[in-house]
Amino acid sequence: MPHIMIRIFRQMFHDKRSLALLLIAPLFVLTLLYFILGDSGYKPKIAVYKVPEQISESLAKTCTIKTLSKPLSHKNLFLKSNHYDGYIYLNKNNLSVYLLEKNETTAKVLTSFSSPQKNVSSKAADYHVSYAYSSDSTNKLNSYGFVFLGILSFFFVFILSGIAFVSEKNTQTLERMLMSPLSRLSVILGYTLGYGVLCMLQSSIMILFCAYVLHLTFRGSILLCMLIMTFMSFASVETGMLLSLFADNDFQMIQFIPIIVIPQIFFSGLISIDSIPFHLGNLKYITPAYYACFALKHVMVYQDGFSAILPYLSGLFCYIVVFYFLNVLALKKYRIL
Amino acid sequence: MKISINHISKSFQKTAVLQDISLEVADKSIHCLLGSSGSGKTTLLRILMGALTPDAGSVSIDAVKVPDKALLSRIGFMPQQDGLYAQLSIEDNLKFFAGIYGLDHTTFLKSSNELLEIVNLYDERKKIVANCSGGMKKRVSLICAFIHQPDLIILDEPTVGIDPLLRKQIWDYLHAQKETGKTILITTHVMDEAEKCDYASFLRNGKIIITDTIPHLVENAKNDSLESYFFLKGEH
Repeated sequence: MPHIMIRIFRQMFHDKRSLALLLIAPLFVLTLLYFILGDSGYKPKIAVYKVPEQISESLAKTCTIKTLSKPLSHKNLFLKSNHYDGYIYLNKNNLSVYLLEKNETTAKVLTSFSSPQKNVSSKAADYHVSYAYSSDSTNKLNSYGFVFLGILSFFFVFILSGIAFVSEKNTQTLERMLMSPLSRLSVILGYTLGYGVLCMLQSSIMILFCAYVLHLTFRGSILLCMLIMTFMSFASVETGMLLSLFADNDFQMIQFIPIIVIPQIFFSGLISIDSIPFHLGNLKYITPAYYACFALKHVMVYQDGFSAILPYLSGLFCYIVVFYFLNVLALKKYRIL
Repeated sequence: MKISINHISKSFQKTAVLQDISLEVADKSIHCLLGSSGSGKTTLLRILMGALTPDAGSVSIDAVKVPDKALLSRIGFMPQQDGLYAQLSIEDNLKFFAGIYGLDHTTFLKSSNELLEIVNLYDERKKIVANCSGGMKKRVSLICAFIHQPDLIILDEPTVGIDPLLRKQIWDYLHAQKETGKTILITTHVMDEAEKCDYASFLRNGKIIITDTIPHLVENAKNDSLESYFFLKGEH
């Protein structure tokens, strides 16, 4: 078993390009996400007609306002052709808000629109919103850091271990190895530890990069985050290996990516699991991303300690053990004993 | 090591690949399994190594029923493809395969140096396999099967794509190994190769058509070439 581990390290050391991809590619994607999910300072463009001055002034703080002299007859056409995000106008005695589409930009209009309302209406409507856990950062990667860390780690490790194992099959090195007295348990353990340790290194670099270069908020312990990512790496290695045993070539392995990786995104916390209908949310228990991302959320957002993430780590551990034995069983296809 | 194959049959998705194969491979001999592509040679080797379960029949090596993990440490196997790690050096490949057979460093060095000298690769031992020529890879693949000094060596088409000079070197090496008491089972679809063995078995459509010593086969073939003789036998 140690021979397989050492051989994997040697292979990686000689294959500089793969090593660079393993260590640098996730950092590149994280950097890209950091900039894409950042706040560009864009102000929504709003056309207003007969809107009370108090509201207009309040809107002007977050939006670019154009006051119209007459009402719009073709609202949709005007907004589209003039690149406006919305139109606010007085319709009889009610204020109407007409937005081009439902997206993040127009949500900004509604936020700025709701705030002046409290000033014009009764005191009972005067409210103040505060969050138990929020960040001063305007970068959305800060809010969803736990999701992207978990998913990216799973994605890269899954591809690496899966393709590596398919290649072992195609070059008949796996066959040659299985013709030796090594047990199937040792072969899978060797691969798990070999790729697992490499991927552990990768995820630790990802965490450190997010904490010290991108300055994402880590309220809890960075070491605990690394521990979670380590568990996630081993879970991804096992998943990648198992699927590669059923893929005859790299092309088939690539086709497993959407089937396996996309469901991980659904249960990572990006979409509210409670709102998934038909009890499909319960599928989260079979996705490693659920355990890893929610454990990361507990540490990164809620500042929880080891006891809070223990159930998630236990879930990941069970997943690793089950998939380890499934791999050992699947290897029976290549050697009886 | 003596191999006894008794009434082996194997089918894949209702296609019979091997049909009631029985064969004895004598100890300290070179035995050739001759047959065209798809005749069932590799399937038979896989059953011998315990990689596949036969639908019927049994295999024993030195009276030990296959599959047996302990037996595997006494067998050297060379797959049809090179079965080498392209990113590793020749020496690292040998080191890895020696390691999984449990060779200590001193034994490994002695064995690998000797084998590298035989196949003229000692000076190239640090070269990365990906940068080696096809012939070099074949030689490395061959010596990987010998690194742990096995008693039985199973070679799946070892000389495919090899130039005549290198092929001669490989055969000289195989004969030298036989002289040291090793049993060699080799598959090929090239008739010339069969003539270099002690015994040959001709496989066709999953059946053994004939098994005999090479001198007997040549004698029975009379004026025909071995190739024509085998095909004639296959027709009956």
